Amino acid sequence: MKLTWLSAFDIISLSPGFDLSSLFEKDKSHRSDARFTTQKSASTIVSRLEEVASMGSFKVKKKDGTVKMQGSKEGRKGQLAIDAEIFEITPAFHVVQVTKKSGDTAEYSLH
Amino acid sequence: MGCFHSKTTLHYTPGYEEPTVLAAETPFTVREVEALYELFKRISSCIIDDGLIHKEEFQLALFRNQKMKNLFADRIFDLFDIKRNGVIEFGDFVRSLGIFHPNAPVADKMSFAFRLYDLRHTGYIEREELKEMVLALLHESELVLSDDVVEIIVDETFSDADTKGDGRIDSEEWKEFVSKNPSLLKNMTLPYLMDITLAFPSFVVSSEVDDSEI
Repeated sequence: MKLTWLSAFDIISLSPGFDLSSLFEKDKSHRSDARFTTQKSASTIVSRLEEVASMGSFKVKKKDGTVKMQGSKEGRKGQLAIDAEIFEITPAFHVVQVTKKSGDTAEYSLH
Repeated sequence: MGCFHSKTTLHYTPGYEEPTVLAAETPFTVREVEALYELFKRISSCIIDDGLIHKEEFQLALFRNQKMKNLFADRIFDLFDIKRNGVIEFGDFVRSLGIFHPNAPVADKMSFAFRLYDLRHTGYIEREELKEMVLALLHESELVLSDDVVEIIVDETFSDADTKGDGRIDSEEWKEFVSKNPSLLKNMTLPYLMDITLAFPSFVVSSEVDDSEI
């Protein structure tokens, strides 16, 4: 899977100190995206995501460094769709950005 | 946010500017500036109720933790403190946030980001400054990368951006670099600013009239 390479400036912009949207958000638990770093390899990350997806009956599609997951059950606001985009900083250091594309936030938080 | 509603008459504190003046100089409408005023009052009254945003109040608003130290938040605070008097006044707040508006000129966003990264205000982003910022981010995230790896990351970015090869990135090189990598300006736009009047409805309709009667 071809991943997006991050420059030093991309890395720096990951800091929550740069994210002024927190000034406006009252409740952080309703955020519909999350980011985390990991020292696993890209293939390990993808396998892990596929595992989680199969446990929650999600359909998985892989495209351009993003693992797209689509729930098959109809939730309160339609099907839950989550994108997990993987960025490479070094082969042993990746950033995964998880975004809810559609569906109910409460169901999304459970996953 | 848990802070009491400010009792100060903010119109008399330093740095207050009329919404009409601020609307004329930023992408905001008068209604939006009034909405920002509500947000400003909330943030600026949390610790010291004086109509000014102090560093701890900014940290509290950003991280829900007034003691949280963060290099990047410090840089933002410094740039928002337009008058360089250690606090963010209402005028400073609106003018600075204006740059984050989706309709603000990209040139303004590029220039703000450049000044943000120019840690020592030399007019250039030096290699040491870039490395310092990468290390700060890793430290914040509690991640450890060997110095070799950090050097490689900084080298690659620098060779990409420092087209003149003089060991530092000037504003021209920065503009070129950002034009090739527009995602670098992602943090410079807050879509939320377009909906600000919904989140902070202004209940004070004829505030100007009230003041002149006092």
